[in-house]
Amino acid sequence: MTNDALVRIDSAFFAYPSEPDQIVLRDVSLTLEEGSFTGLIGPSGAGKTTLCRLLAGFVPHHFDGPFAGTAAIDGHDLSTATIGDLAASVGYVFESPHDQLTGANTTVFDEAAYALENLGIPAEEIRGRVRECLETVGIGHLADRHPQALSGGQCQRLALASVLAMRPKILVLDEPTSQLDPLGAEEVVQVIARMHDRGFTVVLCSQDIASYAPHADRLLLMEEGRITADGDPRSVLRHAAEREAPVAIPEPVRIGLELRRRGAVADTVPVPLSVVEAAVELSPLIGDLTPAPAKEDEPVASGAAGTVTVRAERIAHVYDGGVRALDGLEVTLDRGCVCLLGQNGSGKSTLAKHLNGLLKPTEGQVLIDDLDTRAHRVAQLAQQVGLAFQNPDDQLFKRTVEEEVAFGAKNLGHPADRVRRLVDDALTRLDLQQLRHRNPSELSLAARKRVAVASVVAMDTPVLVLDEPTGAQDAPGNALLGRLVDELTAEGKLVIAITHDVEFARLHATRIVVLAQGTVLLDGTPSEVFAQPGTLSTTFVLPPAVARIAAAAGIPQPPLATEQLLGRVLPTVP
Amino acid sequence: MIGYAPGDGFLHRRNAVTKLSWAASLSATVFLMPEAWMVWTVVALVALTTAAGGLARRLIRPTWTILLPFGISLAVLQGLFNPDNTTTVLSLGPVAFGLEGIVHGVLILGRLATVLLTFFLLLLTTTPKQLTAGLAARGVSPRFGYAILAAIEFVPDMQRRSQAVLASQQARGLDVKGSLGQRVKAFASLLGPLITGALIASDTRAMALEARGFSARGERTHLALERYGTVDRTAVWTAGLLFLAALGLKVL
Amino acid sequence: MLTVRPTGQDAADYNPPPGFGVQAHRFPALKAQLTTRAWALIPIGVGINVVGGVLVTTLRLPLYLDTIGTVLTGVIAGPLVGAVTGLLTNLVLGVTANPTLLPYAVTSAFIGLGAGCLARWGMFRSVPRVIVSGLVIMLIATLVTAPISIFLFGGVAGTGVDAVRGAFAAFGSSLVASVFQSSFLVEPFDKTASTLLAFYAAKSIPMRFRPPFGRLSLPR
Repeated sequence: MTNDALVRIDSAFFAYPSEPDQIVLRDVSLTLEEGSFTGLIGPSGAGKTTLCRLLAGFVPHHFDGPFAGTAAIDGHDLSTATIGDLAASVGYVFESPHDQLTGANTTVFDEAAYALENLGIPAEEIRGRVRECLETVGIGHLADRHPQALSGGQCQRLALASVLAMRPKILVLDEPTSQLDPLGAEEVVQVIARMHDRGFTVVLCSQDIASYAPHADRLLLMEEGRITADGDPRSVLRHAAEREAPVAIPEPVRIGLELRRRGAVADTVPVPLSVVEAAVELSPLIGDLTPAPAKEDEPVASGAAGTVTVRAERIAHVYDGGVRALDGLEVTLDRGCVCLLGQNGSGKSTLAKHLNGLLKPTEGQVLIDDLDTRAHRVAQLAQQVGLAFQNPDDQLFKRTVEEEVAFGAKNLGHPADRVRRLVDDALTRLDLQQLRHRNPSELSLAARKRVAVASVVAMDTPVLVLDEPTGAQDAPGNALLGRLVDELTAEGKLVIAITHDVEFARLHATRIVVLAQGTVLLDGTPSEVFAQPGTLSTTFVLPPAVARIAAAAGIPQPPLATEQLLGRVLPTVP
Repeated sequence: MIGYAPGDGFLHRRNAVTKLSWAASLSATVFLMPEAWMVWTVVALVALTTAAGGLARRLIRPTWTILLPFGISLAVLQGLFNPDNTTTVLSLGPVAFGLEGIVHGVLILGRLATVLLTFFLLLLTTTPKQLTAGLAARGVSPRFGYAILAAIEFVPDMQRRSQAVLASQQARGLDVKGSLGQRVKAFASLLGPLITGALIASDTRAMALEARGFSARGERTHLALERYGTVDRTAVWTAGLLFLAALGLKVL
Repeated sequence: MLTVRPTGQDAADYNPPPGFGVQAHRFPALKAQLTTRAWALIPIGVGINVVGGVLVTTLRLPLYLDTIGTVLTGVIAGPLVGAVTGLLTNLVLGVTANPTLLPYAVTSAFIGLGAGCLARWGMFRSVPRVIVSGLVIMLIATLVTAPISIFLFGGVAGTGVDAVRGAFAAFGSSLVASVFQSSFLVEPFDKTASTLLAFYAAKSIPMRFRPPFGRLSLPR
C-alpha cells in the first residue's frame, strides 16, 4: 500500500530565507494515500502552513530558504519539479480569499479560466471545464460577476474552482475559512467534503476543528515544526485533550471525555466527534431530570456599572449606493461585555462605525453620554470610544510594536509618562512584552491582531469596540482575549464585541444583541438568546455546541457552561 | 475617466491591435507635420470618424476638460514668450500676444487633440483584456499584459482600501485636518498600512499566479482574442505606411 | 490507530543535517529580477503611485508624491522592475485618465531604473545617502521630462506648473530655461520626500516578504 502513496515526504527540514536560524519544519516525514482526508491541527507557528506550502512546492521554490530531506508528490521529485509542474497534481487554496485572485480578470468566469489559458488548452474545452467547475462549487450563477464583488465564501469557492479546472489529484487548503462568516465557512466545508467524496485527496489546515473533524479520516497534530501525533480524528483529539495540547478541542470531544472520566461511558468507546454523537451519549443519562433551578446559570460577572452610556436612538443609515444598512435601530449600551451577533450584512459593522462617529446616522442620533456624534469629529470622539477593526493590516505602520501600541494614546494627547504606563500595561495584557521591539508586520496574523487590539486598549477609553477580536487566534490566543475582556468589564469599561464566534459570546458576554436587516432581532443574556435557535437561524447564527448538544439530548433549560451541564446530568458522580 | 462602453459599431468590431496601431500612427504622424492646418485636418477627419461611429457625445467632455487648460497655458506662454514673436495680434496694456507664438500654440493643441481623440476612441471601443490578448497574440509578453490589466484593476481597489485605512487611523484619534506637519504625519500613517498590506497580499498572489501557469512556456489561449482578418492586416499596414510616408516627407 | 512522538524538552535532539542554513548573499542578475514575485509587485507599485497622488489631494499637501511606488519597487526588486513599474504607471494613467501622460512614461521608467541602480550601489543604506539618491532622481526626472515637455507640448504641462513657468519667462528667461527653472524649484522637495517615504516603506517590509534584491539593498 505504501508503495503507491500519493505523497511521500522523508525527514524534511526547512527555514524561511529571512530567518535561516529559525527552523519551521523539523524532521517531518509523512505519506498520504490517494483519496484520504487529512486535517492539520496545532497552535499558530507550529509549521502547519509551511507543510501545506511544501505540498505545492511553494517551499522550497517560492520561499527559497534552506531545505533538507526528500519529497515526492504524485511522482514529482520536489527538488526538481517547479511550482507550475506541481500545479497539475496539487490545487492550493490560500487563507485570504481576495489576495489569491489574479486581480487581472473582471469576471468570475475569466478568473477561473486564467490557468487554462496559460496552459494553452483549446478555447472550447476551457469554456466547458470552467462552467463545470463553477457549477461543482455552486457559483455557476455568478459567472459574470466581478470577482471583487464576491463575498469571502464565494471567493474561496471561486479559488477552488480555478484550481479544480486544472484537474489536480490533491487539494491543499490552508485555513480556507478563517476569514469567513459562519455561513460562508459552512458552504466551503460542504464543498470540500463533497470533493473528498468524489475521490480527491484533501489536506486541510484549520483552527475550526469542530466543523471539519467529522469529515476527516486522519488528523496530524503539529507543534514546534514537528508532527507530534498522527492518527484517526477521535484518537488524536482525545490524546491532545488529555495532554492539554494548545488546540481548541471540540465540545463533543470534551463532553465525551468527561463522561468517560466519570465512568458514565466505557473508556474504550471512541469519543464522539459531532453534536449528534455527543447527544446520543448524553440522552440515556438524563433520566427524569427535573427542570433547572431558576437562574443558577446566570453569568457571574454582569460587569460593574459603566461610566459612559452609548445610546442609538432610532438610527437609520443609508449608504451612497442606496443600501439601507441600519433601519430604525434602537439600543442603549451601558455596562459589561455586549456581543453583537448576526450574519454579514446585518448591520453590525455599520453600527460599530456609528459608535465613534466614523459614520453619521442618516436618521435618528447616536449619543455618547451627552455628545451627539453628528456634532463632533472622530478625533474628538476617540477620547470616549476606541475602535479596533477586524483587519489589523489597515492600521499597523510603525516600526516597532511598542510605537504602534502608543500611536492612539499619543493621538489622544495623554502626557508622556501616562502613555508609557498605558502602553506597558496593554503589552502585558496582550502577551506582547517579548515582541515589543519587533516590527509588527513581521508577526503572525494572530499576533498582529493582538497588536491592533493593544493599541486601542492603550487609549484607555471608557468604551471599547472590538470587531472580530478572536478571528485567526489559536486556542491560547482566544483564552487571552477572553480574559482581557473580563478584566476590562470588571474595571467598569463598556466592551462592545462584534463577533461570529458564539463560543466567545457564550463564555464572556454579559449581554447579546442579535442584529438582522439593520435592526435588533434579539437582546438578552447568553442563555436567553441561545435558547431561541429558531429565531437565530433567520440571521444565520448557530448556538454554541453545548447548547445544541443539550437541545439534541432533550435537556430542558440547559446551562451554557459544560461543567454545569454535566453537573446536572451526573449530579452524583464526583 | 474614460473606459469601455459596450456597443457594436464599426469601431467596436475591429481588432484591438488595428485600433491601437491607428491611434499610435496618427499620434506620431501629427508630430511630424509642420503646419497647423495639416494637423487640424487630421483632427477633423478623426472627429468625423467619431461622429460616424456615433461616439461623439461621449468624447466631447473628457477631451475638452484636458484640452482647455492646455489651450490657456499655450496661449499665454507661447503667445507672450515665443522667441519668434514679431507680429502682435493683441495688446493688453503692457503685454502683447505674438502671432507666431499663437500659431505655434494652435499647432501643438491640434497634436494634443489628435492624441486624445484617437486614444479615447480606442479605449471607448476596446476592453483592456481584448487589447492585451491582441498584443500577446502579436508577440508581446503575456506577463506584461497581466501587469497592465492588474494595475488597472488595483488602482480603484487600493483607493477603496485607503478609505478603510483612513477609518482605522481616525478611530485611533488621528486628526486629518490639522497643521501641515500633522497632515504630513497623517500621510505616512495612511500610506504605511496601505503599502505593507498590499505587499503581503502580492506575495500570496505571486504564489497563486505561479501555480496557475504564469511562467508556463509554450502556446497560450486567449478567450478574449478577436479575429485578425485581411481587413485588419491591411489596416495595420496602411497605418504603418502612413507614418513612414510622413517620416519620409519630414526627412526630405 | 495513533502514533505519538515526543514533545518539548524530549524533542531537543531533532536537529537538521550539517551544512543546513548556509546560503549565498548576492544581488540577483538583471534578467533574474523579473520573477513572478516581481510581476505581482509591479501592479502594486502602480497602485501606490496613483493612491499617493490621490492622498496628497485629500490631505491638501503642496507636493505630488506620485512616484513612491516606482522608487519602492526599484529599491526592493531591482532597476528593471522599477523601470517597468514607472512605464506602466503612465501607460495606465494614460489609458484611464489622460493620454497626454503617455510620453512621460519615459521619465517614470528612468526614475525606476535610477532608483534601482542607486539601491544596487548601496545608496539606500542610510538616510543621508537616501537624500542624495532623492536629488539624483530629481536630476534624472528633470533631464528627461524637460525635452519631452518642450518638444511635444511647447513647454506647457496643462497644470499649475505653467504659472511658475510663466513667471520665470516674464522675468526674462527663455521658454526652455523657464521649464528647467520651474522643475528645479518644485522637484527637489517632491522627489526627496518621495524617495524618503519609499525608503521608510521599504524598510518596514518584513524580510520574509522582500524579493532577494531587497534583502540586500536596504539596511538590516
